[in-house]
Amino acid sequence: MAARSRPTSRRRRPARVARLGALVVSCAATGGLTLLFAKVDPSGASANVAPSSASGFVGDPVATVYGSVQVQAQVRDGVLVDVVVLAYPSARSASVATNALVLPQLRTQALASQSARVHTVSGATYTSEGYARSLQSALDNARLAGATKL
Amino acid sequence: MNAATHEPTHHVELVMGTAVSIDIRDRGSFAARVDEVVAWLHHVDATFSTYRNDSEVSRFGVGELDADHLSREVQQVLARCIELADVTNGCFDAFVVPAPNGSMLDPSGYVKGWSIERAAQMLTAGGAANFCINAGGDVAVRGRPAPATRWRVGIRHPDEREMLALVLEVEGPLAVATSATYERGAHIIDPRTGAPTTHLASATVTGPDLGIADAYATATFVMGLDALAWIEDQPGYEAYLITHEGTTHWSSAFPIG
Repeated sequence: MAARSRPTSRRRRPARVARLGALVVSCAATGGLTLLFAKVDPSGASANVAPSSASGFVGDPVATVYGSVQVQAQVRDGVLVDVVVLAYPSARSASVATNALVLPQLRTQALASQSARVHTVSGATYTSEGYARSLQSALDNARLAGATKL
Repeated sequence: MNAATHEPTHHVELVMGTAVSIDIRDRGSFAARVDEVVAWLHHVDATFSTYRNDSEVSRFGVGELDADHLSREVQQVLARCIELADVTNGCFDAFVVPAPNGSMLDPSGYVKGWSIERAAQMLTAGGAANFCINAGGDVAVRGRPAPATRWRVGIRHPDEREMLALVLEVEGPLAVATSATYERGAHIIDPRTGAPTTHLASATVTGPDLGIADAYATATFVMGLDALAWIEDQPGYEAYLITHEGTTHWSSAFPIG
């Protein structure tokens, strides 16, 4: 029984698990909100609102390998304040297992994009000019100016 | 000053065509160690830069230097690049992509990460246990930013310069490298075809070694979604991909959440 593993195999885990992990999530998860939420909620929440009230922007349903995901963004004074999941896949057992992981991410990631309390940023900065315009540059400037809270 | 106040050390060095941020959270004097790292990075730039016609790599690339006359250091890096071309099925290949110096040799996609991994080793040897180095978006973290917190590493959003696609909360040691073409004029060539590759908006790879993660991020960007299956066979390395449509895909042990 102990000799079951093959020393030559480089694969760490079954391919099936790998595929399950390669979750396809709607762009809401990536902060691609400007694209997804271009469409205003037909209920008209955004047209004549007071500056401090939140507007809801409903995204198009996005097909994922596990089913359709649809979310609503709450925007107040031009700032994203929350993301509400309106519809998500639950029919298949695989979805049940992944929902617990994926749906909280839909919320937290989109918010993190703006609350941005990060120590560093990974991105493709190939030039000094690119760096100068980057979020990392802003973080460095804040640190060098003495803002050590980050 | 750091010695007197025992404040954390933060330094930004413009080198290798970008900015390298060194953020040491340990208390103590690391000025000499930072100087050592800065000297190392300028040495790497002078030796490996494909923007400098007088660098060893440029002179070898255009045929002014024989392989026999290369320094041991350059030989080792180029040998590693050959291995990486093999492992990535030619999706990272330093020997067949056009370089700024006019040659077809450009190991930059490995060298930047490799040099920062070395820099991290130098800081570790100097007694630093908790730090982050960021070289133009390639990140190496060690330990923690503070005893009770983990490093929060943002992944830049491919469309919005000041937005993040994702925030990782991780403990070092870990390397994070991202490949993308959102910067003006940037493009990544598929070494297999010689044409610019456009499958993905961005590709991030995490793993133990930043040199390898850097090369794998480029390879993953070239592979597109096929990279998800490929990366499962690379022990310790994980990938997070963003498509032009905004969908995200990640490998089974990517450190998300």
